[in-house]
Amino acid sequence: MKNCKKIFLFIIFSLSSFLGLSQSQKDSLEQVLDSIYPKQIVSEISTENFTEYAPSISANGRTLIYESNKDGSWKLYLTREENGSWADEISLDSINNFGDSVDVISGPNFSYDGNRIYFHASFDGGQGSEDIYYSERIGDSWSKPQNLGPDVNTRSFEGFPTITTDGKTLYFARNSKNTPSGVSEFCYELYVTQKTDSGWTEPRILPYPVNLGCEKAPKIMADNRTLIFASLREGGMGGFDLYQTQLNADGDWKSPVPLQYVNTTDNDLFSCISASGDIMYFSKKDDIYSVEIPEEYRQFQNVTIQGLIRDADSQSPLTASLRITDANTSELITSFDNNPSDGYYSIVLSAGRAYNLEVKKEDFSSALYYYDLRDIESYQEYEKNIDLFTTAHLNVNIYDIELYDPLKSTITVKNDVGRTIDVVESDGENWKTRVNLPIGSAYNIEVESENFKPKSFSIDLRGLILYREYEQDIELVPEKVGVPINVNDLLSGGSVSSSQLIIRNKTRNEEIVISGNQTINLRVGDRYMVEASSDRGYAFNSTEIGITKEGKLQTIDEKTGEILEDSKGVELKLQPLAKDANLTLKDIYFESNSSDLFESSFEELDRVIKLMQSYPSMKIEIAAHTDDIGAALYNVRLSKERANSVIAYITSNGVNEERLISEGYGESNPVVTNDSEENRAKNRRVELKILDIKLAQND
Amino acid sequence: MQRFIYIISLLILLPNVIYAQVELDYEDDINPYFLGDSSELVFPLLFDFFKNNNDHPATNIQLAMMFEERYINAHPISDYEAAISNAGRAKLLFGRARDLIDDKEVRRNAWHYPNFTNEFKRNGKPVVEFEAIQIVHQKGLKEADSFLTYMPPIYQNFMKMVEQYDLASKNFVRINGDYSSLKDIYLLYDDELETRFELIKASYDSTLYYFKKYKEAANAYPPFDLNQKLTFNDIQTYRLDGLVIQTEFLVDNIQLWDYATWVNQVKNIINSEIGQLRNDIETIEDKLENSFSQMRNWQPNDSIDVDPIEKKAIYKIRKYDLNSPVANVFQYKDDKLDLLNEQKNLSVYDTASEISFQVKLYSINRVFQQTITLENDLNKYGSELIASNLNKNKDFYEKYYNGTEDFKTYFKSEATELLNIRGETANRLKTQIIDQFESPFTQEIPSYKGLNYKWQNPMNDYDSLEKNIAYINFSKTNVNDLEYIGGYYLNTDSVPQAFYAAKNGSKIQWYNAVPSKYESNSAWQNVTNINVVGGGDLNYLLFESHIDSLDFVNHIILSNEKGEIKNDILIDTQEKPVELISLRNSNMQMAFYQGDGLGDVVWPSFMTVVKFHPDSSEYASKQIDINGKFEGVFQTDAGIVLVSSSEDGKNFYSSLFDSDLNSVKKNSFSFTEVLKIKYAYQISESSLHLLNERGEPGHIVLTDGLELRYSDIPLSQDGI
Repeated sequence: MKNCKKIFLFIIFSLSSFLGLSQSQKDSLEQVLDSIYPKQIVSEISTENFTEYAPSISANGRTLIYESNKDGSWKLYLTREENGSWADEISLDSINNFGDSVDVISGPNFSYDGNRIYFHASFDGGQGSEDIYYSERIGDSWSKPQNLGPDVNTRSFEGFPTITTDGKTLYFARNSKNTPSGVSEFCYELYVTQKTDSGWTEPRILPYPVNLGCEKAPKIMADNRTLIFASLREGGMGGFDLYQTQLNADGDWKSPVPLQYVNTTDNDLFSCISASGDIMYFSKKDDIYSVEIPEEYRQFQNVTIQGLIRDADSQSPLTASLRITDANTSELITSFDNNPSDGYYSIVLSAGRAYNLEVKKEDFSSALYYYDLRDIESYQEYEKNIDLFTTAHLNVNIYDIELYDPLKSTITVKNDVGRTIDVVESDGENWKTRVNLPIGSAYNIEVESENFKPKSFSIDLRGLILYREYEQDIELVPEKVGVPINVNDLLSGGSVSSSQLIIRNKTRNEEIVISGNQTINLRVGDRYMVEASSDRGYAFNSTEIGITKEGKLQTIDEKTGEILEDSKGVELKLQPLAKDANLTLKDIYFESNSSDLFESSFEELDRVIKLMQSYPSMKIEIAAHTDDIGAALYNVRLSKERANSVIAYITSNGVNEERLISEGYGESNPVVTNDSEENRAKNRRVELKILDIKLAQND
Repeated sequence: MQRFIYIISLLILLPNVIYAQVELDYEDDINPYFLGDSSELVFPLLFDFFKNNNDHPATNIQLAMMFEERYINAHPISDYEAAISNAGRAKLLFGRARDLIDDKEVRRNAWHYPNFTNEFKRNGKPVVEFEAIQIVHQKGLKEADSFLTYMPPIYQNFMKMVEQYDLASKNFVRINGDYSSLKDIYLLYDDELETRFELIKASYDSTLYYFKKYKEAANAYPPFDLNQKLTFNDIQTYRLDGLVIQTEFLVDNIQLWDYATWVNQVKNIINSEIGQLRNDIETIEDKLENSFSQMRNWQPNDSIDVDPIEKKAIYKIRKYDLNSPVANVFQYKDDKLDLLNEQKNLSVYDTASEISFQVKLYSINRVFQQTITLENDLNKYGSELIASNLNKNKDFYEKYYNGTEDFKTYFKSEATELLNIRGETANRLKTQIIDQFESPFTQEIPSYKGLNYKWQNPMNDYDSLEKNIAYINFSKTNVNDLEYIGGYYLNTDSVPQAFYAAKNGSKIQWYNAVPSKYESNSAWQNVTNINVVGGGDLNYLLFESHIDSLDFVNHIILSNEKGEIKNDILIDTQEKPVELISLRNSNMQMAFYQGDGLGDVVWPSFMTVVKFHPDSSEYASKQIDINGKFEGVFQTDAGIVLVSSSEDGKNFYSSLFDSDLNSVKKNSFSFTEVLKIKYAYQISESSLHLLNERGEPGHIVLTDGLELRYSDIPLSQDGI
C-alpha cells in the first residue's frame, strides 16, 4: 500500500513538472499535497502583523535565525530550541545596530559549524546597493559585520549567501540580466565563488539549467553538492517554487527538480534543513513554515559531530584546524577552523562513508578520529570534546643495568640547537621520572648518574603527535675499576688456598662471591666490606674498602688503622687457626658505660659463630679491653661484663658455652698509648684467642 | 484512505493539463555559443539537446570532444571514476560520430563544425574538410579505447595498494592507542593481538605486492607516466613513529613506514625474552611453593631454602612491568619465608634462660621489625594492584591462584597472618621487657640492722604505711655488681623519709637516710628515680615537700659506691621529678619534672627538663610543651622522644626534640579505649615501647620518626 502511494505521487510529481496546469488545477493539487504533506507554521516566531522570513537553521537543528520587520525595519533574530519549542527570539544587536535604522538586513545563512552568519545588508560604506556581510560568533554574542569585499560585492546587488560546510564555496544571488519576458517578480541569478588564500575568486554564474533567468535564495546542503533554490520557471506550482539540483563529479549540475512536498501556489522560498534531514523550514507568505520531508525525499542521512576543542591542561578553548577526509579514498571532504571564542566545532557528515577527522594546531598535539558511518541509518549526533596538549609526558625509567635498581640521576633536556631547556632529577626510588617536553621540537635527552656512564637518546616531537605518554628505559652501566684482592697467610705471607671472598656493597644492595686472589671490577664511588675466609684452617678477616669518585682505591691499614687513599690492591691476611692464636674482632660496640652490645656488633659476632660451627673442636677465650678512662678496677669489671655479653650472644646462637670463656682485662693491655681519643678507641676492643683446636687433615 | 481519494481525483484532472516543455534549438540556442563561451556553459545546453536529438551528427562529435577533454584533463587516479566514465562516453560518441558524419554532412552543415578549421568564408561560414573531422574521431576513439583498457588495472592496483597500506597504518595506530607502551604489548600479547599483528603484516605485504602490480600495469600504458618508487622508514620510537593520518601516494617518492619489520621485531621479543620470562616465573613459583611446603612442616635445624629466588629474577620481571604483581608476590613470598624461619626460631627464646635478656630482645625485635616491613610491603603491593593489569600474566594466575579474581584477594588474606605474627612477637617483647623491669622485685628480701625491706613497684609509692619497713622502689646495678636501691620508710611521725642504699646479693652494704632541706621530720621525702653514672656512682632524684605548707624542694644527689654524697644539686622547680637519664655520647644527665605535686589537679602540658653534670652544681633548665602527662622518654640518633597522654587516657602525644630541646616533630594518636602505661623501654630507634603491666592490655610501639608501629588497642583515628 505504501508503495502504491509512492507510485501515485511519483506520477503526479513527474507530470506536474512537465505539464502546465491551470490555476484552479494547481489549487486543487496544492490541497491534495498539503493534506499529504502538511506544512506547519512555526508559531513561536510568527507574528500576525509582520513578516518573518528567510530562516536558516544550525546543523544540529537547535538554533534558528531569520529576518523580520517587526521592529520597523528588516533585522535579524535568533531563537533556540528549548524543550521541543522555539524560545523567545534574541535580536542580533551587533548586526542589527551596525547600520542605520532604515538599513535592510536580510537573507541570513548560518554556517554549518554555527560560527558565522552570512547575510546581505544595505549598510553604508559597502560596494553597492546591498552587499554580502558576515558576522562571527564570540561566545554568546556576534561580532560586528564584515563586508565580504570587492571580490564578491559589486555596485549591484549581492545577496542571499549560502556557504558550504568548509566555508570555502559561497553561492549567492545577483540581479538577473536575463529576466524572462512577462515576469513581474524581481528576479536574480545564482553565482558561485571560491575562497582562496588571496581572497574570493571571480564569481561565476551557475549554468543552465540552474539559472533560467529568475532564481533566488540558494541554499547549499550539508553534502556540499545539493543546492536547493527558489525559481520562477515553467512547470511550477505558482510564484517562486523550490527546486533541487546536484553537482556531479564532472562539475555539471543535474536538471533541477521541483520539491513538490513543499511547493505551493504562493512564493516558497529560503529552504533550510538541519543536519538531521527530516524537517525543512521555509518562507511562505509572511511566515516561516516547516514541513516534514518525506522519507523517500530525504536526500542524505547525516551525522553531526560537535564539541569543544580545549587545552588539555588549562581546559581553555583553542582554535585548531579540522580536516575531514574520506577514510578510504583520502578525498578531502572539508577543512575549517573552529570557533576561537569557546573552542566549539560542529561537523556534518553524510552517512554511507567512513571518515577520518584530523585536528591540528601548531605546537599542540594532534587528534585523529575515525568515524565509520557506512551503516548509519538515521540521524545521529556525536559529542566529542577534543583536548590537545602542548607538552608530552616522557616517563624515563632509569635503572642500574646489573641490579635493576632505580637510580638517582639528572636528566638534561636539550633542544635541537643544543640549548638546555630543562633539567629533571630522578629520585632513585620511583621507577618513572616524568619529563615534560613541549611539542613542536626535537630533543636530545642526556641522562647522568654519579659514577655511571652517561647515556643519551633523542625524541622528535615535530611530527604527528597523537599520544601524551611515552616511555623510555635507560639502563645505565656503572663505572668500575679493577681491584686486585689477595688473601694471604698472616704468618707466612704466602697465599691461602681455597679462600673465598664475600664482597658486600655497603652503598647498595649487592653481594659478590668469588674465590680469592683475583682482580674484581668494583663500582666507583661505592664502599665495600670484603670478607675473606678459607676452609683450610684459617680464621676470617674483613676490611672495608672504598672506590673514590676519581676511581682510586681506598683501604685501611690493618696495623695502624690509617686510611690509604690510593692503594694498588687489597691484601687480607688470614690467621691460621692454632692454639694461642689471637684475632681482634672488628666493629664490636657497647652502650656507653654498659655491657649492652650495639646491634651493629652482631655482624662480626655472626662470623665468629660461623667459625665455631666450622671447627667444632675449637675453644676460645673472649677478652675485652677498655681505655684508661675511669677507675682501673671498675674498667676490669666493665670489660669482663662486656666479654660476657659477647659470649652470651654466641652461645645463644647454638654454640656450647663450654667452648668459651670470658676475660676482662680492663685498661691493662693497651695496643697503643692512651694519649688521644683515636688511640683510646683502638684500645677499646674485643679479642678472640684460640685456647684449643684440632684440625682435620684437610683443614 | 482519504489521501488516495485525492490522488485518484488528481488522476482525473491530469488529462486536462496543457503540455508544455522547454525546447532547445541547435541552430539558435546552442551553435552560437561554441565560439564564444566556455564549455562549462555550452555543455549543459548541448547535453540537454542531445537527450532528445541523439542522432544529431555535430552534437555527437562535439560532446565526444568535451568528454574527451574531461577525461584527459582529469587525474587518472584521483578522478578515476569521472575519467573512466567520460572516456566511455567519449568512446561511445566518437563511435556514433564515425557513423553519422560523412563528407555530405560536413558540406551541408559546415556551420556546425567551426572548431575543426581555421578557415572561414567571408560570410563567416567555416571551410571544413571531412578528413579533419575523421582524424579527430578516429584518434579519439582509439585513445578512449586504450584508456578504457589500460586504466582499470592501473587504478585497481593503485587503490588496493592504498587500501592495504591504509589498513596496515590504521591497525597500527589503533594498537598504539590501545597499548600505551611496547612493554604492555609484550605482556598482553594474545590471540586477538596476534590476529591484529598478522593483519598489519598481511596488509603491509599486500601494499608492496599491489605496488608491484600497479607498476607493471602502468608500464604497459605509456601515456601514464609512472616514475614512482617506495622508500621505507623504520619504526624506532613506539607511539611516535609509524603514525599516519594520510599517506601521499601520488608523489614520485612514496614514503612508507615499515610495519612488517616492526611486527617481526616485536614478535621476536615476545617469542624469545617474554617466553623465557613466563617459564622463569613458573619455575620461581614452584621453588617458593616447595620452600613453603617444607616450612609448614618445620622442625628445628631443618635446612629450608628461605631465599629460593635471586633479586635479579624479580627485577627482570619488573623490567617489563614496573609494578608487576608477579614480582611483588614473589618478593613478598621470599621475604615471608625469611620471616617464618626467624619467627619459628623464636620459640627457643621463650624458655631458654641461658640466653641473655639483651640477645632475646634483639632477636625478637628483629622479627617484629621484619613483620612490620613485610606488612608495609604487603600494603604497598595491595595498593599497586589497582593500577595493575592482571591480564599481563593471566595464565600464571589461572595456574597458581585460581585466576585473577582470587589473586586479588591473596594479599588481603595474607594481612591477617602477618598481623597475628606481629601481635605474637609484640607479646613476646612485652613479656621480656616486663620480666626485666620486675626482676629486681622478685629478689630475696634483704635485711639490715633489724630493718625490714619490702620491694615495691615505684608506681605504688605511699600505698604502704607500715613502720620499720623500708620500701624499695628503685634498683640499678653497676658493673661491680653493686646494686643500688632507693625508696622510703616511715619516721616516728609516720612521715615518709627517703633512703638510698647498696646491696650485694641479699646483703646490704650500706644504708643512708637522705638528708632533708627542711627541719627534721617536717618534710615528706621520696626518691623518684636513680641512675648509675660513669665510674659506677649512684645518681638519684629526691623530692621532698613540707608537711605543713605547699612548699616543695627538688634535689639531684650523687653518691659514690660507699654511700658518701659527692654532690647535692638543688633544683629550682616546684614540679615533681619523673625521670632521670644519661645523655647518649655525653657525660651529662637529664632530669625531667612535671606536675604540681598535688596529684595533678590541673592536667599538665608542660614539663621542665634539667640538664646537668653529676659532678657540678650548675645546671640548665628548660620548659617544654609535651601536650600532656609524661609517659616516657627515649633517646636515639634522631633526638629525644617524649610521650605524654591526655586526661582521659585515650590520646597519646609524641614529640621529638633535638639535643637542645627544640621541638622538631610532633604526632598524636587516639585510641578507642583507655591506655595505661607503666613502663617505657627502648630496643632500637624503631622500637620504642610503652607498656602497661603484665596481663593487662596496653602496649604501643613507636619509632623515633613518631610513627606508631604497633598497638594492642585499636586506634580510633590517626592524628587528633
